[in-house]
Amino acid sequence: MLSRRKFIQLCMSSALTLSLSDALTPVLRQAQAETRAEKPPVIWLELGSCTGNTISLDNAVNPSLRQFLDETIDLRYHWTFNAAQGEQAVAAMLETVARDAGKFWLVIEGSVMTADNGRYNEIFARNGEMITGLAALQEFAPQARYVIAVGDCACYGGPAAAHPNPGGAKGVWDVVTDKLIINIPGCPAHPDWMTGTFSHLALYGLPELDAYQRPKMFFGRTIHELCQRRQQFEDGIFAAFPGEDGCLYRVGCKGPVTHADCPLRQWNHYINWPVKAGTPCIGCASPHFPDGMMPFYNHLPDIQTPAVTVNIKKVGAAFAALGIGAVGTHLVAGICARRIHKHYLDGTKPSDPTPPETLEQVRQELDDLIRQQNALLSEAKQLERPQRKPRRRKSLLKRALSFWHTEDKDGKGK
Amino acid sequence: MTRKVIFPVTRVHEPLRVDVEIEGGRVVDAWVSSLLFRGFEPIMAGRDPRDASLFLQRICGICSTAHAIAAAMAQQEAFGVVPTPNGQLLTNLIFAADLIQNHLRHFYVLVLYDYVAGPAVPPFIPRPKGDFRLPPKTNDELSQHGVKGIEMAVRAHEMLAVFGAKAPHQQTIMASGVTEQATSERIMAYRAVLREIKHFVETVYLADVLTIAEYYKDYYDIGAGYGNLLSYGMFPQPATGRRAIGAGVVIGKNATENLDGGQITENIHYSWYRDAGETRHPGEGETQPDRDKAEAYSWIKAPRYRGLAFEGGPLARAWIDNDWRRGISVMDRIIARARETLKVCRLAEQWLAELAPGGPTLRPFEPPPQGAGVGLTDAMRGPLGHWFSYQEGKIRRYQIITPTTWNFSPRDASGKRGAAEEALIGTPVADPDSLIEVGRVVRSFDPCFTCAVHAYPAGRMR
Amino acid sequence: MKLLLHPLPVRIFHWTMVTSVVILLATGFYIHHPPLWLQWPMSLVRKLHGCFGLILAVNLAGQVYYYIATGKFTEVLLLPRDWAHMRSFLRYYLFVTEHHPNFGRYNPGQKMLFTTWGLAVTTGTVTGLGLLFPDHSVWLQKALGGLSVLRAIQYSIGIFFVTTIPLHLYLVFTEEPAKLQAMFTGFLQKEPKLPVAADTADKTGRSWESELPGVQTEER
Repeated sequence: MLSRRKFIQLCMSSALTLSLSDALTPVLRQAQAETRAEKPPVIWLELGSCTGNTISLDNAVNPSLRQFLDETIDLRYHWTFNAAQGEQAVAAMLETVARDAGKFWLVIEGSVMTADNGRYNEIFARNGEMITGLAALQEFAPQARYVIAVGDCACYGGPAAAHPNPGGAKGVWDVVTDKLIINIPGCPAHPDWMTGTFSHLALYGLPELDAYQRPKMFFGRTIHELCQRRQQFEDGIFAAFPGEDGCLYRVGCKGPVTHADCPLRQWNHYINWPVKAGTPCIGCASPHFPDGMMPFYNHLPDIQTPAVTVNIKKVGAAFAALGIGAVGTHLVAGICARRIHKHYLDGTKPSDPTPPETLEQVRQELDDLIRQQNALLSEAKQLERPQRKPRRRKSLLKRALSFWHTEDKDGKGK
Repeated sequence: MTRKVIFPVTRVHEPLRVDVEIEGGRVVDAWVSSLLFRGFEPIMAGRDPRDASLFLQRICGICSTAHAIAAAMAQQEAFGVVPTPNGQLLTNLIFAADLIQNHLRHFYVLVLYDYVAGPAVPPFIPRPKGDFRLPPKTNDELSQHGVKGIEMAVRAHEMLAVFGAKAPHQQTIMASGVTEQATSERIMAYRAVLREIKHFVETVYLADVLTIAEYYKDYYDIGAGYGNLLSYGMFPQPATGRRAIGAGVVIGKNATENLDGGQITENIHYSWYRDAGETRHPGEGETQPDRDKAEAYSWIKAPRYRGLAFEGGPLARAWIDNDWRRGISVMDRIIARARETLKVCRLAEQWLAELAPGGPTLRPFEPPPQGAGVGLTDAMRGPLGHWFSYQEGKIRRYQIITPTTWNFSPRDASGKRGAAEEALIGTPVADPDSLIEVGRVVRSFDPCFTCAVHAYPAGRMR
Repeated sequence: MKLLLHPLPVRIFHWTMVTSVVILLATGFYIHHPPLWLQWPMSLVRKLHGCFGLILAVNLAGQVYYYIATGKFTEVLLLPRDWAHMRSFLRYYLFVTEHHPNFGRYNPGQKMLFTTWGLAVTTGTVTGLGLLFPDHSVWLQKALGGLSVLRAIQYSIGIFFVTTIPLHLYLVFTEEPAKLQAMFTGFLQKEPKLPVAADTADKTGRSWESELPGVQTEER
C-alpha cells in the first residue's frame, strides 16, 4: 500500500520522474479489491464557467482521463461527457443523488451566478421546472460527501466575479457556508491538481488544506520560490519587456504573490509554462484573480471602484507630491512672514511666551514648571474664572471667527 | 402536435436548451436558448487595454486562443503595431494547434456517441435511445478510436503549449507577436507532434467520419438551414496579411460576396435584454439584462448580416474557399470539419518551414494613450469579432460577437429563426422522448455557449 | 550652561530609526520597481530590507519599552488630551498668531507624526513578514485580501514615509534650529537669559526654563 506520505511526495514532485498513474493504479486496484475504496460516484456540475477545467481534465496525462475514469472515479453526471441528453441524463443524476446521498462527490466548475436569484444561469429542468445553478448547488451540497470546487471561478468567483460582477458571480464557499469546500484553483486547474486531489480523497480522505482550503501538496509554495528564473531575480537581471531574457518581475510577474507549483510541474504533458515561455505569471491560481492581479503587466493591481479605476502608484505619487508641496508652501509662507528669519536670529521659542489658551496647556505647564507654581495658579484661576459663569455656547460662526482673531501687539488674545 | 424540451443538451459547451414542436414525425418549429449570463464586456471597461487578449480568452475554455487572437488583432489596430513575421507564424501555429484540438475533441468527445454506442460505464451510460446503426465490430472499433482521438486532442494541446505555454488559456500571444522563442528544438517538438496528429487525421479521423457518413446517409439531407454562410477568414500571413483561409459571404448558396462589416446588426427582441432600440450596430447601444422580459427566451442576441441569419464554421469556410460544396447538412458539417483539420495540419507544416529559428518573435511596444480597434477572425466554430476603444490607458467600451451567437441566435424582431433553429426544421423524429436526431443536428454546429453568453456592451463606443 | 534635552537612549533610537528608514526606503522602492540601470543584486537588496526591517521593529519595541518605563509616553504620543491644543496649534501654523504656544515638549502635529510612524512601522513589520514568508502567512493573506494587498500596504507605507519625512526635516531646520544640535550631543547650549523687563515676563514671573519643559538642568 502506498503510504500517504509517499503519495504526497509523489504529487509534489515533478511528474516527470515517476508518473502518478504508475504508482496509483496498483494501489487503487488493491484497495478496490479489498473493498476499502469503492469508486466514488461523482456528479460534476458546470455553472458559470468557460468549460476550461473540463478541457483541462481532459488534457490529463499520467493518469489520462480514461484511466482516471476507469480506476478512480465513477463519473455519473458531467454534461460534456454524458451520452444521454435532456431528461434521461437528468434522471440519472437525480437517481445518484437520491441513492448515493452521503456518498457521492459533488464537483463544481464555474462560479455560482447569484444575480436575480440565480436566474442568470439555469442548468437543468426537473418535471418542466427550470433549476438554477444556485438552487442545484444548495440542494445537492448538503447531501454530498465532499464538495470540490475546481477552477478559480468555482473556488473564489474568478473572472466572472471581476468588477463590476454583472452576474453576481460568487465562489462555492460563499454560497455553501456550512460545509467544507475543497478548493482546487487555477484558470484552468492543472489536471494533476484535480486527479491528485481526487485520488487523495479516494485513498486517504481529506488532504491537508490551507486557509484558502487549497490542498497544500499543490499550493504550498509560491511560483516565485520554485521558478527557473529565480537566479536572475536574485542577481538583479530583469526583462524590460515580456519575451526577453531575465526575470519577468519588472513586467508584472505575479509569481511572488501566487501559490502554485507550475514551475516544477509545468503544463500539457509537462513541457512548458508561462514564465518559461517568456510571459509573466498572471496569478490565475490566486484566490484574488483577476481583480487582485490586473493590470497583468504592472506590479501592483488597480483598485476597481464603481466610478473610476484607481492606480495605486499614481495615487502614491500624488500623495508624495502633495506632502512635499505642502511643506514647500509652508516654507515660502514662513519666509514671507519672516518667521524663519526670526527663528534663526532668536532661537526657537518666543522670548515672551503667550499665555496658555486652554486648560490643557495650563496642565502642561503645571507639570513642567513646578517652580512657577504660584504664578501659574494665579494664571489658572484667571483662566478658570470665566468658566464658573454659566457657560454660554458660542455660535459656530463666532467660534470660526474667533479662530482668525489675532492677538494684539502685547501678545494678549481676546 | 407535441412540444418537447431537451435541457440540458449534453455534449456541447453548455448550457443549451432546445425546444421543438413535432408534427407527423418531423420537427416543425424550434427554439434554442442559452441559459447563462456572465457579462464579460462590462467587466472590461476601465481596465488596461494590454490585458484584453489574456483576460478575454477566459470567456471560453475550448476556443480560448481564438479570443486571444481576435483581441490581439484589435490591439494591433489600436496600438499601431504589427507582429514580426516569426510572431505571426507562431500565432498561427498556436491557433492551428487549438483548432485541431477543438475539431478532434468535437468529433471524439461530443459527436461520436450520437452515432456510436459507447462502453457500458458512466458517463457513457445511460445510452440515448435511438438508431445506432453501426455493426458491432465497427462500433467497437470507433469506440476505441474515441480513446485514441482524445489522446490526440491532448497531444494537440501539448503542441499548442510548445509555443503557447499552457492550454487551455495560452499565455504568450501579444499584439506584436509571441513571447516564446522560435528555437529549433521547439520547432522540432511541434513538428513531431504535428506529424503524429496528421497521420491520425489522415488514417483514422477522416476514415471514421466517412464510416459514419456511410451508415447515416440520410443525414446528408437533414439540417440544411438557410444556406447563408459567413466567414471572416483566419490565419493572416506575415507581411501581406492575406488570410490563409479566406473571408466571404454566401447568401442562399449563391456566389461568394465580399464581407462588409457595416452590414452587421444585432437584435434583442427575443433576448433577455432591455434597450431603447431593438436593432443596433455592434458598436452602439446600451443594453441591460432583464430576465423577466416577456417573449424573450435566450441570453443570446440575434446578430444579422443584411437582416439575414448566417451560419459559420468549417463548412462555411470550406464553401467560401471552394474546398467542399457538396451541400449543407449535418454530415457535410462533420466532413468539412474533418477535412479542415487536415488542411490546417498541412498549413501548420508550411508555417513551421517558414519560421526563421532564432529570429525575433516579438517587438516591444508602448500603447499610445488612446485608440480604437477591430479584430475579426474566424474561430473554430465561426466568425468572431472584437470591437474596442480606450482612452487615457483605460478601456471605455468593449464589444464581442461570437460564432455561437451567429449559429444559435434566437429569432429577430421580424420572427425569422436563427441559423440552427432553421436547420432543425424538418428533422425527422423517431422517438419524441429521445430526440437523438435533434441532438445530432445541434451538435453538428459545434455549439459553444460559454462563448455566446457573455454579452452586453459596456460604455459607449466613440 | 548645558541642558540635557535628549538622553542617550533617545538619541540611539532616533539615529537607528534614521538609518533603517533610509535604507528601507531605498531598498523598498528598488524591490518595488528595480531600475534596469542599477542592477543591484536582488538577493542582497532583499536581505538588507529584511534585516533593517527587523532592526526597525526591534528599535520600535525598545522605544515602546523606554517610553512606558520612563512614563514619558505622554510627551510623544498623540492622546485625547492633546485635542485641546488643536486650536492654538492650527492658529500658529496658519500664521494667525505670531508666537509658538507652550504645548509641552512636542506640539500635537509632531506627536501625530510620531504616533503614525509607530503604527506604520508595526504594520510594515507584520505585512513585511507576511511577504517574506508567503507559505506561512496564508491566514494573514486571507484576512487582508491576498499577497497583492500586502504589497500595496508596504508600498503605501513607503509613500507615507516619503511624504512625512520632509515635514519632519522642515520643522527641525526651521522651527527650532537651536535644538538641532541636541539630537547629536544631547545637550542644548543656552545662555541663561534674565527675565526681560517686558510686562508679560514680569507678571507671570517666568524665566527661560519655562520654555524647556521636562528639561534637566546641569550646571557645568
